[in-house]
Amino acid sequence: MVGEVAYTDGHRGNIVLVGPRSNPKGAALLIPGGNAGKPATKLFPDGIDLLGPELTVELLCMQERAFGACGLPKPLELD
Amino acid sequence: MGGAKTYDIDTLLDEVITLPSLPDSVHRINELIEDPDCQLGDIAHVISGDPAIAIKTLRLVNSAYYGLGQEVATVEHAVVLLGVKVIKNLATTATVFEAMKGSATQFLQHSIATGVAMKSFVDHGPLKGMLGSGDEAFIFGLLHDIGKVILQEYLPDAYREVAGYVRDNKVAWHVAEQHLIGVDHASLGARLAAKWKLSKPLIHAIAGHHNFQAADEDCRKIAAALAIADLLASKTGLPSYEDPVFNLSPECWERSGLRGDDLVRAVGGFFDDFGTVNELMVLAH
Repeated sequence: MVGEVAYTDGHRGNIVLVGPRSNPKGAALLIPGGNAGKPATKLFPDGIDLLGPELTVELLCMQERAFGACGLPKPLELD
Repeated sequence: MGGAKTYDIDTLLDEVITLPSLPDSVHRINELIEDPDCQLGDIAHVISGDPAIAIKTLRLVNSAYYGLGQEVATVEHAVVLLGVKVIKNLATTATVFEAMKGSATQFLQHSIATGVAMKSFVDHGPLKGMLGSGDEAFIFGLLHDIGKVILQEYLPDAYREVAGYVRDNKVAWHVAEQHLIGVDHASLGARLAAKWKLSKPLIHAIAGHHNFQAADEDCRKIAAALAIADLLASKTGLPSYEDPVFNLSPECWERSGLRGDDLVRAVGGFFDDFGTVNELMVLAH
C-alpha cells in the first residue's frame, strides 16, 4: 500500500506499507530530495519525527488494518 | 436549518433535560468504599441486591478483559479476588453498560474502543501512575461521549439537524452542537459525571476531551490523552456513527505526553487489547 503524505520538514513523500508492525521493515518512508537532493528511504522506526503524531497514528492503524491480526476491519481496497 | 432553540447549559438542564441518576446500589458501593469500617461482605451484599448490576459485574469479571484465568461464580468471590477499587470500577462500568444498552451499536463500539485505548495509555504510556489502573482509565473512554446519548434522547429533532450540519459543513460534532443547541456533549457529559459523583479527573477529562483547556490545569494531561484515545478509536476503521473531524492542536499532543516511541508503544498496546472490544460489546448488551 502506498500513500502520499506531508512530512514535518516540509517535504512531501510517500509511505509504503508492506508488512505487519512486528516487522521493522513493514513500513517505510520515501523522501524525495531527502539526502542531498537524492531520494532517500527511512524505515518507519527511524522516521517517526518526520511524520508527526497524528500521521503516526494514521499509519499504524492502516498498517494494522492491512497486515495485523488484532481484528481491525480491513481497508476497503483489500476487501 | 437553524430553527432550533439554543440554550445555556443551566437552562437546558432546568427546562429540557433530566440527567439520569446513578443507581442507588452504585452510590451505596461508593459510600461503603469510603467507610473505613466497611466489610467486603457489605459491598458484595449491595451488588447482589441489584440483579442487573450483579449479572453484568460477574460477566465482566469472567471476561478475557479481566483475564483472571478462573471461574468466578459469586459476587462475594469477585469482591475478595479483585478488591474494592476494582469492584467499584466494575460496578460503574456495568451501570454505564446498562444505561447505554439501547444506544446504537456503532456508538457503543466507539465508546468501548476509546476505553480500551485509554487503558493502553495507562498500561503502556505516559498516563502510567496518573490513574489508579487500566480499568479505571477504561471508564474515561466508555463515558467520554455519554452527553450525546442524553442530547439525542431529549432533543432528537435538533440532533438530526446536528448530523446534517456536520455533514454539510465538515465541522466537528461538538462545534455543530454548540452552534445549533448552544451546549455540547462534552459539557453535558461532565455535568452527568458530576451528578454521579465520579472522580474530578473523570469529570474534567469528559469536559475537556475536545478542548483540553476546558479542564482544570491538573486534569489537562488526562483530557488531552482522552482526545487522542477518541482519535485513535476513530481511525480503526470501525463503522462510524458520525463523520469524525479532528483538529487536535500541537499543544494537545504535547500536553498528553504521547509522542514518538511512547505513542507507538501505546498504540501497539491498544492493538494487542483490541480483541476485548468485541467481547465487551457482547457484555454490554
